[in-house]
Amino acid sequence: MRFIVFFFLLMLVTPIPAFCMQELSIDLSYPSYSGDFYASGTVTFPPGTVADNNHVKVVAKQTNEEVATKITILEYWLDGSIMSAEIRFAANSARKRTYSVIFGSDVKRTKNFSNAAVLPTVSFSVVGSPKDAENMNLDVGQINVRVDRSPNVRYWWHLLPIAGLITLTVIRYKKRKNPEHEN
Amino acid sequence: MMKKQEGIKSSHHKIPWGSSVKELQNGIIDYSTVAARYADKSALLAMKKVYEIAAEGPVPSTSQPLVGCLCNLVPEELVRVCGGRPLRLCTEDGMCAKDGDEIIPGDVCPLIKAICGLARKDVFERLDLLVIPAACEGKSQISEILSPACQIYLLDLPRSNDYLKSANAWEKNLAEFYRFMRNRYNVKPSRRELMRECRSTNARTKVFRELYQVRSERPDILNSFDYFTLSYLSFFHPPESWLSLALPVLQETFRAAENSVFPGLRRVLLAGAPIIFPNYKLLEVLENAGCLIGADMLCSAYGRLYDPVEVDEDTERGIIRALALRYIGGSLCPCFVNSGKLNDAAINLVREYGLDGVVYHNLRLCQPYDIRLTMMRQATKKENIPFLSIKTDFGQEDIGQLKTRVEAFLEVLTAQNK
Amino acid sequence: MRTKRISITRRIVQVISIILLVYGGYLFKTKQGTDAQTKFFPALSAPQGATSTASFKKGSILWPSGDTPVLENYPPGLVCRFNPNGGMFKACIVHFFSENLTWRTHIKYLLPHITLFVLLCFLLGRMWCGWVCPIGSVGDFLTALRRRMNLSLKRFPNGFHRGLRISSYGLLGISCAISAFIGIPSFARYQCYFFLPYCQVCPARLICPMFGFIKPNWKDFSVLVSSVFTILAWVVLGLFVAAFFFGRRVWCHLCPVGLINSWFNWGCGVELRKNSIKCIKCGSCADACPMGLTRMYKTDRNEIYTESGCIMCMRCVEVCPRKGCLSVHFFKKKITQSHF
Repeated sequence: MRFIVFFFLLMLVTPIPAFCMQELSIDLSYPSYSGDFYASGTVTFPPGTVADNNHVKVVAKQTNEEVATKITILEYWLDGSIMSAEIRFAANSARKRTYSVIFGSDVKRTKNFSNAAVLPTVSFSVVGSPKDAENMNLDVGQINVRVDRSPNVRYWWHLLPIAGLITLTVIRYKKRKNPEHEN
Repeated sequence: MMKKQEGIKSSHHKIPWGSSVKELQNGIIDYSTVAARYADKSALLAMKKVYEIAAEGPVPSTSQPLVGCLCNLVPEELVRVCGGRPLRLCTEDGMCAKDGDEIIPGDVCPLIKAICGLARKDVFERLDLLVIPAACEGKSQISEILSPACQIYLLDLPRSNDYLKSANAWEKNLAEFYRFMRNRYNVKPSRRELMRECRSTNARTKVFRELYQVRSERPDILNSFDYFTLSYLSFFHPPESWLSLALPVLQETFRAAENSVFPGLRRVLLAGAPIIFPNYKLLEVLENAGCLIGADMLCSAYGRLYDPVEVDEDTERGIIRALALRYIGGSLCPCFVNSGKLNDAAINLVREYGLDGVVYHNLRLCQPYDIRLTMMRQATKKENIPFLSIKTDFGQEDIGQLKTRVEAFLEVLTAQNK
Repeated sequence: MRTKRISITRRIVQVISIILLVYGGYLFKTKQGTDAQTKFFPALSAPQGATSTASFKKGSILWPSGDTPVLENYPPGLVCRFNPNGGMFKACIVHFFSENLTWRTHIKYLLPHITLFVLLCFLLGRMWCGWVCPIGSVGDFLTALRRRMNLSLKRFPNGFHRGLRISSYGLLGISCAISAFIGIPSFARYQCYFFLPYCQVCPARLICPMFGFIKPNWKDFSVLVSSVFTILAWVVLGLFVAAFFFGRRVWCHLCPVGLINSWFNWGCGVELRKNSIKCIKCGSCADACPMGLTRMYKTDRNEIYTESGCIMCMRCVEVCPRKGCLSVHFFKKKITQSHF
């Protein structure tokens, strides 16, 4: 009993595995003028990784803090996860930072903002994702497709010998336990 | 070391071994006469040497320290590997019994009396150590009375002969005994030497089994006197020398068996208390009546020589444990509580060798064998095996009565066989 | 001593088994999923529909260092999957259960394997433990080493063996439960840590690769769970080796593969019989049994004296001093008996 409880607790305290969270670095070319501006760009995600726009956040590398973002969803995959989204956040050319996009099922976005001010927009691109929206190379892992037209009886007939042998074993076991002839 | 008790007089009836004085009339048993008599009855030439050695008496002249053992329960390999010469002191000498009667008067088993009577023959003087297993009551108790005559080691054994309950106690007691022997003789034998001793025992077992088998088929060639005397030699001879005596006997028996056919005499199983040279009274009665002994279950022959030592673990404790299992665990002695082992062995031997009946020999005043007698009578009755019980001691007075009973039994056997 | 005919035969079979199980695959190596293989020997190939098990991360203790384990061919019920590259016979029955519980393969694909396993068990019972298992061979070697070093055997009381057997039920149950649990889709993210839980602690994982001179993966301290499994595996291996210096075949009471085989031991083809009337109750048989069984010492009204722990090593038959007392039968035909 204690063993079972122990393993359950062990499962619960398992830290989040690294690859349930992904990081893409943002390549932002700061404008020459100083002041605030919006950085905006399109990011594409593989299927099944981002369920909704609260699973994406932008983090500044230097402070490791999340930056307030506005995420507009552009397209969806067939399973309902996000295919591509436009990410917009505020930056200042006097304070130069490196930003990265973090997304995954364990990611929680906390800071949001609305387009209150009117500021110039600078677009960024994401390193590690193809830039061209017309063709995308997405790493989705290995897909095995198998068409099985074999008749089921080819497998199910094995049940006969299995059942037969187990019955024989049980019968022989019972005979050993209670011999009919007393010596 | 040899401080004698007051009551044991050593000079009174002192008979030196191997003397040629033929004074059977005085009631003094002369081993050479007895041996010669049985040698005449033997059909085999190779047995002559055996009888010559038997005539010399049970205490060999040797430079090795003599270690006396009682019963089969003391593993002789442990004695031999320490350089001692083991000597089984059980004797059925009638004169010794009379001498012993003066030491222990009263209702005591005659074999115990005979052992005590050996003091008169100064046997204990020549022993370095006497090992007494705490088997039957008599044997355990004489350890006290003999202690002034000789250094005594009492080997404690649990009452129950069950492996599951007692094996650890056997191993512990034997390990202690072994340690005692090593300290006494100041030796440190290696495991290889112990294994060599076990192997020589097994070689002896192999030959004995063949002897047993051929005897069950042709008890007319190797008669029971020869057989018991040959077994008797193993009381004081190591296996190698015993083999050199027994192998010619075996070969001669095989040759004689090829050239003749067994006359259809009745063969019985001899069970019960041991029969040891020179007390062959019952054997003479049976042989003269025509009731041959096809197999036996006695501790003086079968129980002593039939089983091998099976060593599984060859660590030192493992070898000691294997010796314990063979000598104590497999023992048929009724002093242990062993739940019908004797009956099973008797019925198995009767069926395996195709014998006609069971003759149960008991010594007067032996309680364990008496109780086993009842159990065996019931068991053989259930299996429809004819059963004869004979209670006797070492005197010659009841020969006539024995003859009558045996002849009646023979008629039962013959009738049944028809 | 007398000739140890049966023991010598058994040693030879053990050595041949190790060679065949480790290197035999080089003779029979086939690619996964070829039609010939699956058509004619469905029981020898991976169940169809099974996901590739190479999805756990490299560096985990389930990967022997550097080598890709060939997982495709495996009749279950035989030896460990941690044989080096090229081994044909892979995957003990516990691996089979764990893996397919996790991947939720459809049961119809598993039936050929189960048939082969049940057939082998029905015919031979637990004889595999005594004659083929490489871990058992390692143990017998360690026992010979112990005897050479003159270390006495410590005999465990009967309750100890029963306690070990109950623990092996627990071990099997927990590993199957965990495997089934991580097969549930919402817990799929734990698969990388808890895949094949019993394999991760089994001493065979560390011993079998060494037969093929491949270094097993000793440690993985990257995450808490892997560290726990690593330490557990070390502890189990240490206990496994240490137990052989006190007893004989202590591990075999705990092994879950042996447990499953032992369910068939009472009805299988190989039986140990005793002719009780010849018995002199010396106890040599119970003394020589490496599993510490005592049933063959007692007298029973049954003829059959095989116990659930009996690995059919036939030591009792060899040491019995009475001819014809103990004998081994295969479906009523006598194979061997005690002789002297």
